[in-house]
Amino acid sequence: MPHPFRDPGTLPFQSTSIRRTIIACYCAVILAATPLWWLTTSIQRLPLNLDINSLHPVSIPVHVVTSNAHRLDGEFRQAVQQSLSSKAWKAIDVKFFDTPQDTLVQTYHIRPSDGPTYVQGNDIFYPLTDSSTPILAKLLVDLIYPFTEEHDHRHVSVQYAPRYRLAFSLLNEDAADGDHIIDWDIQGALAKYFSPFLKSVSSLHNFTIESQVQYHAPLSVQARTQEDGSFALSQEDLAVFINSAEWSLSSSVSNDPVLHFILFVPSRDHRPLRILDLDGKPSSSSSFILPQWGGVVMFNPPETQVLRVDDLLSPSAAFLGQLHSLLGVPRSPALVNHQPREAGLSSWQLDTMLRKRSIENIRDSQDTLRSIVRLVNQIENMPVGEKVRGAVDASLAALRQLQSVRSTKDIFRRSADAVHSASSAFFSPDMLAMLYFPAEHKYAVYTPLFASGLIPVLGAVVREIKAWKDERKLARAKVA
Amino acid sequence: MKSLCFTALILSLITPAWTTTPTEQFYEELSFRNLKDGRVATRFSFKTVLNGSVPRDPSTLGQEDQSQHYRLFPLAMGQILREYALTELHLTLNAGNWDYDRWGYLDEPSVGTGAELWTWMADGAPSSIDERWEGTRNALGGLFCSSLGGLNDKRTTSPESVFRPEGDLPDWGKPHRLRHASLASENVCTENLTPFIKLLPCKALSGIATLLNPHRLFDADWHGLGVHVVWNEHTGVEISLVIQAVLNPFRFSQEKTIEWSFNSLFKKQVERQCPIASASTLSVSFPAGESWSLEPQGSKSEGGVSLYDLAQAQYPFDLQAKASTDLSTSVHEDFKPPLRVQRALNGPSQAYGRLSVSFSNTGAAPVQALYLETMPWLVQFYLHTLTASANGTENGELLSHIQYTPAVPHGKPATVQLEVHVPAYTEVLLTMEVAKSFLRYTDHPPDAQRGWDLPPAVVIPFLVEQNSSSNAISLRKLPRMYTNSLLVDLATPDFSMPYNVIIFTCSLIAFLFGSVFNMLTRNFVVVSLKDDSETEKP
Amino acid sequence: MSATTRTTTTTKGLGVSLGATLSTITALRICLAFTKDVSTYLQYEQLLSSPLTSYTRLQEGLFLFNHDVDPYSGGLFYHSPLYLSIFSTIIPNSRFIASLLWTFADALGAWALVQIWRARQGVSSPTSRDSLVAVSYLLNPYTLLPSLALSTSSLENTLTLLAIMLASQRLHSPSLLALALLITLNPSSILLLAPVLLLLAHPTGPKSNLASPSTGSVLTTPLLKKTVLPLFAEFFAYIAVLVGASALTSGGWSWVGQNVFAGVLLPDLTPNTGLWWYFFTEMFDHFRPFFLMVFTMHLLIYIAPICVKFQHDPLFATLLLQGILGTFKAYPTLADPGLFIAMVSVFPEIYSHLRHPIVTTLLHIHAALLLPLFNHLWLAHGAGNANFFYASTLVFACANGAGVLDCLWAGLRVGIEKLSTGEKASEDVEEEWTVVQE
Repeated sequence: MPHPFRDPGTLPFQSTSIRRTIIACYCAVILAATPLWWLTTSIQRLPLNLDINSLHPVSIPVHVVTSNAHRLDGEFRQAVQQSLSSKAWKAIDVKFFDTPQDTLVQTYHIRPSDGPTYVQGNDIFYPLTDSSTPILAKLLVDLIYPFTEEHDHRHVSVQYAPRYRLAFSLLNEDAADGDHIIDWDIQGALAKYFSPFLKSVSSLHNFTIESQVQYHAPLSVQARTQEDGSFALSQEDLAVFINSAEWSLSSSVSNDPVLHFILFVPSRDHRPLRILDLDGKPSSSSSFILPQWGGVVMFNPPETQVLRVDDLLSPSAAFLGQLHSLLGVPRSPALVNHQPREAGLSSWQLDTMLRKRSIENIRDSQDTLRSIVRLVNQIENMPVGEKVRGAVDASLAALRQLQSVRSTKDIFRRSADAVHSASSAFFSPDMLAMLYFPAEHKYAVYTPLFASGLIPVLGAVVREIKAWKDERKLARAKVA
Repeated sequence: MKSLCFTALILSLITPAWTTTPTEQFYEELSFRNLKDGRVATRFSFKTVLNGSVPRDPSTLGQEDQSQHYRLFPLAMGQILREYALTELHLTLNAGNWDYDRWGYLDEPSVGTGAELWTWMADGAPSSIDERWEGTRNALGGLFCSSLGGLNDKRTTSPESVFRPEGDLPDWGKPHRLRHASLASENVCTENLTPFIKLLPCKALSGIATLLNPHRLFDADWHGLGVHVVWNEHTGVEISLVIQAVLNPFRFSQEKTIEWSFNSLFKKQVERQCPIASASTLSVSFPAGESWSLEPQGSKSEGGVSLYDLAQAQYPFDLQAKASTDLSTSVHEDFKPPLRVQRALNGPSQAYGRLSVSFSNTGAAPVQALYLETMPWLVQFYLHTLTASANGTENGELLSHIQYTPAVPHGKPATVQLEVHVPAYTEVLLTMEVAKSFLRYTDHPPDAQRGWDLPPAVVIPFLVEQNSSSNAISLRKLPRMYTNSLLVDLATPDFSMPYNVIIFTCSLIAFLFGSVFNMLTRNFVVVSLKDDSETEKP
Repeated sequence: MSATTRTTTTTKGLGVSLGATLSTITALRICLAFTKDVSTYLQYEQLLSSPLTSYTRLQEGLFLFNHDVDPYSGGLFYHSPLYLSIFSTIIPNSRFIASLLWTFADALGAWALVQIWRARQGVSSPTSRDSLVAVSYLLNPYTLLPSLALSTSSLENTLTLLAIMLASQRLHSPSLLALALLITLNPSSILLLAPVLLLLAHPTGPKSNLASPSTGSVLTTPLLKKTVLPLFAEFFAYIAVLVGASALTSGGWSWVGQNVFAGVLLPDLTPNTGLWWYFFTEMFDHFRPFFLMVFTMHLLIYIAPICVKFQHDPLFATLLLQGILGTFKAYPTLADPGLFIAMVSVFPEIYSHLRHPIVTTLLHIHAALLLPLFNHLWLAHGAGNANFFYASTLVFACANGAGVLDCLWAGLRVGIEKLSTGEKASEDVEEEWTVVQE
């Protein structure tokens, strides 16, 4: 029996073409929105073209020119090379020649001497009569890399930084009790005692110098009274000597590391103040160094209120020694009595410092680059911006350039650039794991709208494709 | 000229200290002022002067600076001042509402609640003034352990006509610019006082700073810390560290009197003299008509103030103020501001409100007030609803010179500056409708239901004085006043609801979308309801 | 298949002439506006005016504009610069004039709706149902209250109705000009561009073809090239002129960011009757741009399918898109769904095929009572929560969505008309069959 309605199949808006047009319109808009989805939710993660395996260790070349007079054979060379590789992690590459080869590479000459053994500049004068080559080998090794493992283990020297702040403080323990130091001619002392050294080390570091005077700097430990009425601090007391809570020593403005040098003047009631050594006896030195922080000199003042440049001679000498240790200036080896030509650093000291800092910088920059790659791979939501990539590229370029430069100064400069770029990339403020969205949260945000909204669209598309395929099959069957 | 100054500076610093002109001087000053209601307003002022020094020229900011060697000047502040090449700096951290009626004016006019920081900096540096401003805020926030980093762009304005420089500005060819920011919700406590004391040469171990007992200081009705750095052409860079407080001796005394002494107020006395202070003075004054006696007695100045030279005093030094019978004691002029300004935000709704400011002039002279309002973008002004009425009747003539910079959402605050003319014995009421913003989920602070603190408004009263002989009107400028800070209650969304809202709204939208899609793409079919007939296919 | 069917015979009229109805209601409105100064009470209501349509913000923008401060430099003013030029030059800016203006705009809108109704019926003389149609716009609380609150959405409704009326009367240029003006003032009305163009290009115009959808596809390429494209070009020219005038008024292009992109970027999160505000209040910052894009695309995705499906009756497509606009717009007020409800009165042929009119009505009553109550409780009393108001907006969206779905179903169902005799079949035959969608 026919139904009383019009046949729905004759409705024009129900024709196949209309239906397919409508589905196509929906799909077109959805497809047009997909690149916009990518645009609005993507995190900028630029690829770091850094292959961890390409970071191989770099070695610094050193040439030694021997004279024929000494007849130094292969055993000598092997001993030198073995000793150096165990000390400097194979980072120094020593080659022996008869004549000077390359003016850029650091070259040491072994020359015959008619008297004692001594070192002048880059020349080692060794007497011909002494044929014990192990001593010469040890001497050579000590000159090229005088740092021992034990020295490094104590970690007295600070990490490398291109600029240090040297903060000199005169601390009166208690000025109100009288007999305090009002003023000190630190600028004169700096000019006279420090500036030669600072100038000679200027190719390694720059320095900003500041000074202050404090009139109340109470100690946090009680000085022990000795039998002779003097006061003393034991070695354990020295560990907590710096009373950071009450002494205003810190610098809050720049990122450069600060080396503090404190001239401590005890109050009138606590004079004289000495340091006890490990046996409990008053030691002769009145200064001590705090590793990687700075140094302290205890000064029991003469009857004067103002310290002149001459009064500051012995504290300045102590400070200078502490500064040497903090910067990693090597001491001269036992067998050498070298003749320093200028007050300040001798050239071999400067060269060894340059080499040591270069090795450390190269190692640090490679470690930092490896850490960056690991971090970026581990946290997938972390953005990697243009600045970070630029810094990584700069660090890699500097490391690559190390292959082509030969002189110690150039190697050092490249290594300093490399470590600076690597740490600026690693500590860049946008390398923080941002609002970290775990995958479940992303699903929770996307599913309600898209899963339930797109299911009918997908179903309709699938149905239409099936219907179209059936139609084609039918049409082919009809034709056939 | 610059190089001469620098060489003079270097030479002056290298010169041995036993010459007659010391290069740094330190002055400390303690003043007590009894107020009419029995409270005591104290002021500790520590001033260090760097003779002959000049602030750093901003164009040298890219190069290496000269070494800084100080004896008395705090090194931490010196580093900040030179790092960002600041010419003038004023930082105050206050707590409490200053009552101008009962307490009059204070020596330092910045009594607004919370943190207020403003600097004058010259242009011409490699980095912009806003970058240096940001560095200054962060450095000072680190130095004083307070969240001054919160004084960001959303709180920074440049009202250059209201906050004039208090010292001189060096002439480097580039103009100086002001940056001012205020954060009314900043709390002041001991952790701000400790680094403050560390900047003093004598710390809290000698001199008048020994009286600074945080327990008593932060228990005061009003207290404030201030750091002021100005440059004077004739003397040099001066830094003043000021602590002001209004203490109530009645609360601290055992016998319940308003007599006070150092011991009763601070539980401490001055034990020792600060050995490096060039001058160490104490001044005490009382309101007119009251009779007090001081022990030990000090010398009188012509203003009626008792002065003590603490360098000459007997230590330990304790001052006692007792009521006495004779009226001959020290008096001070009770300097009350001519206007009373009160500000309020009315309206129960969290969507809109009304800001009303009332200026009461109880004196016989008319007052012209310059009113500055900096409102964060949370509260938006409807400036067209600004009306002024005097004693109830609306009068448009009372307002003039209105300058307005609208607020930018998530950006800079609105600045309204206008001049109000308040006739004698009149109360002028300003009202303006405001709209309260609706913030995003992430904009709200952790304690969202508390509300937001709005910074105090600044009023500079000008006394209109008529010169009877020449009939000319002159304006005498008085120190600026601060109104109270307001608390605005903004509507908060439900913070537990993000995923719920996403699910609800997205489900509804998806349902409607899917239904429309189905209706548009499905075909009609006529279906028989009877059991035995078949479905008619289209 | 009959040609146009006259459906007026079964509809009821009010028995009053159109002129009498319009004048009485207008007079009543004016009295109401002036005796109680209702607009000052209603101007802050968030249901009646959104940040894009609020009268207070318009006043603020005018004040700043007249005092040489750029009103678009702050975050308060989102209106089009054309409002600034109209209210600072042509129309004096006072509340008295504004109330009169809004009242007359409402009356004009009602009159335009009646003209649309007449054009749909194909007659030019008054019909018995005219006043009913007028009353459905004038006394509809959804359109009456925003107009009393002086919300500019009432002016935009009037412009919409004028544009559709002029298109129904086959006046090409005035209609396109009105539409261009509407889109410059309220950019989200771009949804109505396509159906109005189709209406202008359609051979039979607004006449009701729901019961008799013509055979063949109307949207053929010749039609598109010959009529629709020139119309679109003319429309584009009008838009360019108006955009230029806006830029000239506001002295720059800063108004584009505030006016045109307000509906896309959602700078102001003031609560309104829509779904967007709370969603984007609670949305995480990371997904915010993405969901803004999704919501905008969702609004635009309906244009093409509805126009394609209802190409035989573009006026009905206009109704449906207005309903979509009222439900899913970024900054809706009560006036947008109000216009949809008023326009339903022009299509009485679908009433018998509505599947759940009572549910829709009850949902609307439910929402209409709860929306102001919860808004007041949350913001003025502090006794409620934002969730209460949000829930009532969800109910309101359900109500609007139910209305749109029902009209859509009914519009399609009318096509399955009885066979040509026009007689109703006997009851028992009808009960045997039902029409469903598979």
